[in-house]
Amino acid sequence: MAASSRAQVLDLYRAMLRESKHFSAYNYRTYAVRRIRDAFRENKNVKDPAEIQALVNKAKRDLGIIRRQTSDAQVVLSIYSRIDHHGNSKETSGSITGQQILGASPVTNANAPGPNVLALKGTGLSGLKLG
Amino acid sequence: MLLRTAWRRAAAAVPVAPGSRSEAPTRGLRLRVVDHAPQSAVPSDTATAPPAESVLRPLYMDVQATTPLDPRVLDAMLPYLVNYYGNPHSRTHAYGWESEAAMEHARQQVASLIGADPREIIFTSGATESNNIAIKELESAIQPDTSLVSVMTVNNEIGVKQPIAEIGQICSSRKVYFHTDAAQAVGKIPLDVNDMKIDLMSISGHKIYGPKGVGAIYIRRRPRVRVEALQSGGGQERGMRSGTVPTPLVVGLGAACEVAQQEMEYDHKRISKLADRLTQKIMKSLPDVVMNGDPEHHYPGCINLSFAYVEGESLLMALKDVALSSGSACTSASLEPSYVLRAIGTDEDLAHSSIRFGIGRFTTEEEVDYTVEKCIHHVKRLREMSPLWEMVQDGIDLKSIKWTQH
Repeated sequence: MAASSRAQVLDLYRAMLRESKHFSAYNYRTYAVRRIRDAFRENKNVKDPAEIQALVNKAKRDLGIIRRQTSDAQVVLSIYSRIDHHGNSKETSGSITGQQILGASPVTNANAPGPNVLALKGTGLSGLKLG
Repeated sequence: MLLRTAWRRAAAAVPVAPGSRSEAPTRGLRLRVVDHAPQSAVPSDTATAPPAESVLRPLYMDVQATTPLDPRVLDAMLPYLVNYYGNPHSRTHAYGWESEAAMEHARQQVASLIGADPREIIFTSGATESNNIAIKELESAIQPDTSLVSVMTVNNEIGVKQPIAEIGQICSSRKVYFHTDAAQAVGKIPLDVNDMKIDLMSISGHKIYGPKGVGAIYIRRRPRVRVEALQSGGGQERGMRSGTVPTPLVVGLGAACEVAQQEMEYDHKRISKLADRLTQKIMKSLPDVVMNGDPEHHYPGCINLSFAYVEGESLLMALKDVALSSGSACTSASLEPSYVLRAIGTDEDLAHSSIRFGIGRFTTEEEVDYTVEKCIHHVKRLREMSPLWEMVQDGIDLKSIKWTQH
């Protein structure tokens, strides 16, 4: 296998960020995006090809985890985030909750007062900018 | 009841966002999950929004009570929950062998995090069971000079770190067993059972982004520490803890330990920054706030603050958008102020005014800022309503007041 080129690493970075935006849970989504950016930034000056390859391999494994955890199967499992222990689906809590004010859910309520800092960030609608 | 009606009315008003996966390549069958009808899984080729957390809940700032599963942990566990369901003690077929292999791999992951040998790790149902095994051990080694020192590594209420290495040194020189409950410390601060001369250590899964219902006890082999089993049965786990080892749970514990080992430095740095941010902002905007616990020997992710002249429970209720705690979850049923705060000499009234802020791997800066803002707002508001606060503002020394009984 040829050593990972800069282009391959960037592709991996883009793919990981893209997939991470599909986490429906606010805390997982923000963690994944933040961690990926910080990890790639931290390792950007690594020169040793063996070390680079090891990092790339780990990143590929993590990309696999992100894909599985945001896949259709997880979409089905996330139904369980909206069912109470009697198996009834729960209504959305429209009252102002902390998560709503942070725009924590991709389903943002544009009418929520207060800081809506993450309203756009959470939706994945903003285009991916490469740092 | 009134709240519930308000929720329902508001729920009708919440629009569903347009598909945010529109730019993602379609991966074949896609399920669209509608908020109120989870059964209607409509296959659709058009990309749809990720099924949002449409049940929005408070921000989670109570990581000392429990932590969410890290997605990497869930990913490791799922195969053993759905497909590889063998009993790890079955010796005669592949289901057993693969389950046993997973169990032993998890054991290695736990051992590696604390510098132990895998043979020194026994899986239990949690740190409480591990604590009981460790304490019971005292009774089984009855000698005139045998005793056991048991100390928490990191306190769950105020985040104080005990000088474990020093204590270990003393115990080892006096030939006294040393046990530590490391539930809040494992994977968060570096621990090495050999450097710190620890003989017994309790580990909890759900404090380190692993599953609930599982933990481990570390039992030193050299020099051998003898323990007596709490539960007897088929002799699993070297006879020290009978019962089928729950493979999916221990796989989760192992994965959580491995992730913690990799992420410890990054998490610690980030959590420290967020903790500083939280305390600085609060202390800058509010007078008469006390941080409980030695600031020097302190794990940053657990911040216990006392807000003078404010009742802790009412502040907690006011901060309804944030999941917080005052005192420890295991004693929260009683109305007594925390025994920990009492032990460090906190005044009775300050002990009733304490709130614990938990910052963890998944906590965001926005969550911290929101929590700080709300906290400042409500403390000010509650103080405005407080006659005690009014007296203090007028310069009256509360300690000089003779409260009489009517």
